[in-house]
Amino acid sequence: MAGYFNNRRNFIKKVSLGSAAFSLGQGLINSAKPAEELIILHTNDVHSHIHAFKKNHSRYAGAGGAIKRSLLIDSYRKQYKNVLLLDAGDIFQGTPFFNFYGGELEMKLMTKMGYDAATLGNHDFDGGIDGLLKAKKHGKFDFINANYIIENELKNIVKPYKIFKKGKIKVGVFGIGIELEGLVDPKLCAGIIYTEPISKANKTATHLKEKMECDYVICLSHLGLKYDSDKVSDIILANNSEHIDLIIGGHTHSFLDEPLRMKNKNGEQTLVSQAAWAGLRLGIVKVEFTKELKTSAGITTKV
Amino acid sequence: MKKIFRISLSLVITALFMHCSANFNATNTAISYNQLDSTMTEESRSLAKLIKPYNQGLETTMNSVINTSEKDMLKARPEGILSNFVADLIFEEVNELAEFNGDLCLLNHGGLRSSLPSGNITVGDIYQLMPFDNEAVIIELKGEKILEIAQYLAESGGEPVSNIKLKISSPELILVNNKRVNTNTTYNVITSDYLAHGGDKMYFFENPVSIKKTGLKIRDLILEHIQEEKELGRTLNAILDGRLFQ
Repeated sequence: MAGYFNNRRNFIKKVSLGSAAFSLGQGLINSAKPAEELIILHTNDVHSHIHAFKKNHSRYAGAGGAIKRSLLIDSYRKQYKNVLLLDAGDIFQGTPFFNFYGGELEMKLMTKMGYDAATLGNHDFDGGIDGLLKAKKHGKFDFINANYIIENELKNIVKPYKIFKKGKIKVGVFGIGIELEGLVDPKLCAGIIYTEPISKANKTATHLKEKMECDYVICLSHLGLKYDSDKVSDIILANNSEHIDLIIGGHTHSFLDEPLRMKNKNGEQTLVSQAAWAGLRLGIVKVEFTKELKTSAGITTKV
Repeated sequence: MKKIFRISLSLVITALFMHCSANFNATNTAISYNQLDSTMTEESRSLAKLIKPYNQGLETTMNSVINTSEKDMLKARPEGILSNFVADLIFEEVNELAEFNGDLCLLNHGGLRSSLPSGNITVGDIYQLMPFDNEAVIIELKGEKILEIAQYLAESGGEPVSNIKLKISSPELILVNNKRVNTNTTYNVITSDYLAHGGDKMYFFENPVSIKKTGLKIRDLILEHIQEEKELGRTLNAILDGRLFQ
């Protein structure tokens, strides 16, 4: 969090609204026009921050807020055809809006902004399973998680993954959640069993890429970016993963200067991103796709 | 001739096949982060309309000023002004309201969710600081468990505590009530039900000698304390006192 002020000026230089937003994309590999492009917008750990921070806030005066976020999202939707909007969990808990209304407004606003999917963070259980079910009635997007075994009514609203067709691109998105023991009062998350995330992630990503023929696979994770201990994190997941193109993370409220470009277990690139917390930032991922022709040798032998 | 026909047909088929099996490869990815800072415009009639009814119910309560603080209060490790402020007031309020003599108070660094500004402190600020509906509980522990707490504090680098003095590099020398820990007696620790149930891996709270619920929410205690200070004509002016040090 200390990095916020240090890096803030650089950011404003680099990514002042709109025009310079893709300065990081300089040095394109292909000069040819891409066959298709996809914009992924992401948030995490918004923690019920409906309003911007107050003007007298010591760190984030006037920053954040659902309305700004919504306007920014709209501006990308106007500019690009294929937009995917995702949240990496901890939607709830952090302002009185949650204490008083149980997450109803958060769900309504996310629906209005057009969120496509969200994963479950530990604080999304703070109202208990019943509270989450009640709030979710106001949210018209899906919760995704592939590594919790769910033995309660929540199983009706949580799917392991979702597939989105954006233009010509087939995008698979799945969710990964953090170990809840020690983080969530057991009575609030009864019937949720955490299972080891790396093997579940790889199994799901392989299914999405190979069986479901997704062109791009995203893991929405609430594991946290990295830890001093060997506790499983997005970095550890990235290094041990396969078939995951992008991990959008949360939990650690990390302010990144740029995404982390990791090598997965097959030596391929897996990107790791996270967008601070409290709606202070919107992560913008621009992916350019080219057509890859599968040259299948088997065909000509038939002649 | 027939052969040429067959070859060209197969080329067409191959081309068709290739077309059908075209995959898309992500060849370039750029990620950036848009700051939602105070310079951005904030006008959206439809969203404002959606928020308004929820806001009206909260605004009056949340905006009411309950006291003023002499300085910005931030949590920190090993000790922070905010950490000390909250732990001390919970210790004091629980002892007073539950008519009890607790020995120490232990909360968690991660549980303080926001700083407090200098100047006016509102009810809303306290909800941001302590959004959780956690209750204060009193846990009676054997002396040896207090040494486990000291070890935990040394490893985590510090948590909000009251009535403790601890050198992070020698946790075994922890002082409670200004005295070394006696392993032949028990101690009453004031904490939250979240931590009592193993939150933040404070497993030393498992199998206590006894546990008493107070029915008092941590947030309500903070609100009450700050209001009481105001009634007594006092502003908030917590300090660092070296209770936890390297």
